[in-house]
Amino acid sequence: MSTNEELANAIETAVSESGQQRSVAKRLIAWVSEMSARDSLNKEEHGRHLRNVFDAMEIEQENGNAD
Amino acid sequence: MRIELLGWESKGLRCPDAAVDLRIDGEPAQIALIQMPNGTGKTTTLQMLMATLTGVANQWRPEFIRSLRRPGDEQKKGTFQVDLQADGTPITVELDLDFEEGSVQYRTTTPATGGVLRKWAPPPGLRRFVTPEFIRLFIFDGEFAERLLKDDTNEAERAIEALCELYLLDEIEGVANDDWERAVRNAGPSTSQGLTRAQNDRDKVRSQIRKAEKAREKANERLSDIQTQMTSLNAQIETHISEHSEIREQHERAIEEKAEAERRLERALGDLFQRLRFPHAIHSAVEQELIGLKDNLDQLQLPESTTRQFFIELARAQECVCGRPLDDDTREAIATRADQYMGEDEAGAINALKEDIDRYCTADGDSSFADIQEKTRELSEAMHSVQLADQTVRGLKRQLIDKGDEHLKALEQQHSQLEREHDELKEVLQDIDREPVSDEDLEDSYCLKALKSELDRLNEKISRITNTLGHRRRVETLTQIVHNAKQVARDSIKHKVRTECNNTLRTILSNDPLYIDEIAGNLKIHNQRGASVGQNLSIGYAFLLNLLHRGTNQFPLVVDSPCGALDDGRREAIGSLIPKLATQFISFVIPTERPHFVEALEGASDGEIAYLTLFRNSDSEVSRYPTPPATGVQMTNTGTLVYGREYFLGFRA
Repeated sequence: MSTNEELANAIETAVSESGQQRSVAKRLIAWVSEMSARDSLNKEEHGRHLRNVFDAMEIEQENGNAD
Repeated sequence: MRIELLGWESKGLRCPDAAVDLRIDGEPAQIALIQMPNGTGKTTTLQMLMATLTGVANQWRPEFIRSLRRPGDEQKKGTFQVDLQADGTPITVELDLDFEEGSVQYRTTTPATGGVLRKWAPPPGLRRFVTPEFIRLFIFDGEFAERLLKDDTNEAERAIEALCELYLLDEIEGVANDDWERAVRNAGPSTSQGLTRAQNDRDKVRSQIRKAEKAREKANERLSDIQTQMTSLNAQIETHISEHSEIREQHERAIEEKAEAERRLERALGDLFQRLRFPHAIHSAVEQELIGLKDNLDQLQLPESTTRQFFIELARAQECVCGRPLDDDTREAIATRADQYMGEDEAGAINALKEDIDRYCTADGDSSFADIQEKTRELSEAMHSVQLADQTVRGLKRQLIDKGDEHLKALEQQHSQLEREHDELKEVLQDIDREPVSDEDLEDSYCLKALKSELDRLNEKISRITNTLGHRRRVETLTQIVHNAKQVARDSIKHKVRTECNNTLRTILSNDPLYIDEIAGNLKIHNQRGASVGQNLSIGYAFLLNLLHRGTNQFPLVVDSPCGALDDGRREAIGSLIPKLATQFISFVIPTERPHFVEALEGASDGEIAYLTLFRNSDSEVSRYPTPPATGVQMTNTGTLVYGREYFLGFRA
């Protein structure tokens, strides 16, 4: 097994333990794979991957007031 | 990424002027052996390779730069140039040294930049692999092998992290945090005093975290130095005592006894901890309490009477267990509330607990407790033996010092001083990594856990003020995921690398098998506190070769003196292994290292091997060297470089 597969498996486990959907894992793995395969990612490319991951997340919103 | 070294060229430096080409028919050879007699400048070559690749020469002091000029030479400048390729793209880095000014100047040539840049500027994708920490993983020597095994270092884990790309997860965390910071900044101009105060507080905490992390790094580095110095001092003390024939035997016996007592102590400690994992064995009272707990659970019919399944089945019945009839409303209420009771997992855990109590606990409770008492006694005895043996060793040293042995006295004083410093540094590290205390004053605290927890609290506060709480939650969730993923990946890789290394070690060290028990910072060898130089080297090879082989990126492995301390059998075993595991292997050898090693390399290699022999023209032995052939020779004013197998194998220094 290549290391990236090991990383991918680890991401799937961690995402599942966090209670998030599998799509979060898939998007994170796509991000890591691109980072691993390419020379470097620029700010926009990182930003695109980050938005993808955030969009797949389910977060409980709190309506806390600022102090 | 696949990085390959194509060659290097040296001019005006302590090593002979030469242009070393590692290619065969234009392609980098999988194996290149560079034979250099002692004193030809191997150390300088390795130092220059490292500096040219990593850019560290920018921090060199003028006197150090001048020290690299060839002794007796009047040259004002020196140059070292490295040619490499990353995924087939050629890259050249040159390092010019001005001996008069004591300064350096880099030049980098890559197709991506379209020409020469007058600075150290490898392409962005290559940068993470040309840091000093990374480069020293594939420029391998006996010292690195020792560091892999040394307590208090995390060299082995750092190697795993670097070669298996675990840093990519850190990069993601960094991107997410920067993104949130940007969101806070873009939340619009805020006049809230609360925000400014929280941001100022956070800046202070961050600065304190950086200080604590810096202090931890410095303490670890100093600890590593101290251990090297203590090892060397111990060796000097041993040698010194062995020169005194009147106590030599006594001393050797005491050292052996001490080592044996320490092994027994380690075994006893392991046995005791193994038993302490079973609560019933700690004391008969605990065992009795556990039996009581099980009886009470049975009496209450737990978990059977409170499982969710029980109520789900009841909701289908016509009558309740108390005999009253159930209608649709009551049945629906029971079905809805069934979720409040134990599910299969919880009930399963309680049943497992009851089964274990039945299996392990006996009514009299004597046997397990007696066993633990016996192990405690063994531990005390072992501790006592270690103390006695230690006292004997100290007594013998005292004897010599009392007789006026000033040298030993000085060595012992240095040792005690280092021990004191070692203990102080350990305390500093403990303070940094301790658990937080309540009402901790964070102003001057170095407790990282307390500081990080305060940072989280302040980030949360800033999120609320700037209405970026949802964003912050996402960043926190992502951070948690990448931290956990890193841990899971690290554990899994460590387990696999350990298994693979142990398989390799079975081949290399077939006569005196050693195996890695655990990778926890460093490599922990089973039942062994120290290994011989040859064993260290073998373990280092096994670890690094397996790690380089399994990573997604491929690097050249540059080895100085590949088998100096190895016996013939190990040379053969390692020689056969290298072509299978290394994508590019470049080694500096001396003539005495050839036997068994070169034959094994040739036997296991599919491709051609590049053979190079380099010596100084001014070498006092040069008249004894074989005459170079008519072709395949490069001569400069200071050195002769000969390509070819025949000359390589026939060379005698």
